[in-house]
Amino acid sequence: MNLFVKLAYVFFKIGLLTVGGGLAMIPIIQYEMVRRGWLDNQQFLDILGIAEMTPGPISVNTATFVGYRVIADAYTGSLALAVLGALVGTVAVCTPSLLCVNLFGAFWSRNRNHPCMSRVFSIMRPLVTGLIITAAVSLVLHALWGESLKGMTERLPDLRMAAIAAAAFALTAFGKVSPVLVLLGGACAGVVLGWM
Amino acid sequence: MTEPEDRANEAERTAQARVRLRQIFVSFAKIGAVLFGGGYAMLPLLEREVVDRRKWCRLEEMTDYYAMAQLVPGVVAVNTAMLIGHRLRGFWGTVAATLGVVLAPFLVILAYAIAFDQMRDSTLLANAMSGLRPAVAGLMLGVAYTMFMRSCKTRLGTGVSLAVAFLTLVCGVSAVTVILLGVAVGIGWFVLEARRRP
Repeated sequence: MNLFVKLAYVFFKIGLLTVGGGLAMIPIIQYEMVRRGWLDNQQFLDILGIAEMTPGPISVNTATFVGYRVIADAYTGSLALAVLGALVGTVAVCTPSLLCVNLFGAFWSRNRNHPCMSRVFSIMRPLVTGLIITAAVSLVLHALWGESLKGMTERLPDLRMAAIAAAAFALTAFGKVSPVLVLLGGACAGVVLGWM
Repeated sequence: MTEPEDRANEAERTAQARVRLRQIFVSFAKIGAVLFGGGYAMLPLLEREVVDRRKWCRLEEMTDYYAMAQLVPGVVAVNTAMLIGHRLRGFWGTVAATLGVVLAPFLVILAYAIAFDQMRDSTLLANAMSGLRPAVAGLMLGVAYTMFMRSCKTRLGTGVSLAVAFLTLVCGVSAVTVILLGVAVGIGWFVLEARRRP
């Protein structure tokens, strides 16, 4: 399949399968990107960090970045094609909502309080929580042990990375510090540790 | 006619007096440029631009759109923009609103992607990224913790979130399968309940 078509298909699917927005997308994007070898877990962490620090929804940011990256890697050096790839990814991730709002918008607002809808959503909310727990745990493991988790139990994690992750966790869960500040702090800590 | 009804009709008329597509685009482009963190961060921005400044809809309506945006598949911020665009100008309204809200994020990430190619060998960037990675992972874990504490308030919430985490993390079931399964269980639950009722 043409790479552009594949890109459009994958991000269309991501847009379609995400209900509840933003964070719910992270596990699906991670799964799709890693499975296809478009991003490894380290690159996925990079783009998540950048997405949180720049304006716009994470999924749109990821679609733009991955669209650029995948095409730039396949057609080395062609900036125009890479920009087109970014455009394809971004448009594709928005298309399912565009279709749904235009086709079913009226139906949706009429049946917003339908018991069937509320049953589905009372399952979906904790379901998304479960997916995010999985994504978070796997991202932490990859951040501390590197891309390959083989022989994880026999080797120690990178302790400096563990300290940064623990601080970011505590600040977010208990300190309610803004994510932008947490991530800027992490980046600064990385620069300082690199000097030492 | 009662007064609130009167006001509602007036709001309806303002909305129907063909809002320019360019105006929709510009308003949402402004919101997209300062939309950090997504989700709830969008509400105050919408209130200032759409309700106070443009008077396209009332605050309660906007909150309704925002709630509805959670039910439509896709990105909540984009969905909210689309629903308001749809109300103002139908199909082209949704297109203008979407293009507006993704414009700034698109340009910023594109600039980052291009710059990243140029600075690939920079030690400073590599060091900053090596600190950013564990910070993102810790942040995600913090978000997961907060969400889990919220889900834990009901027994159903605790059960479903733990079961899903177990299935995906330990058994390696894909996120896509779990989501489709969740929708099926929700519909099944509704059907069973409807049958039991006389």
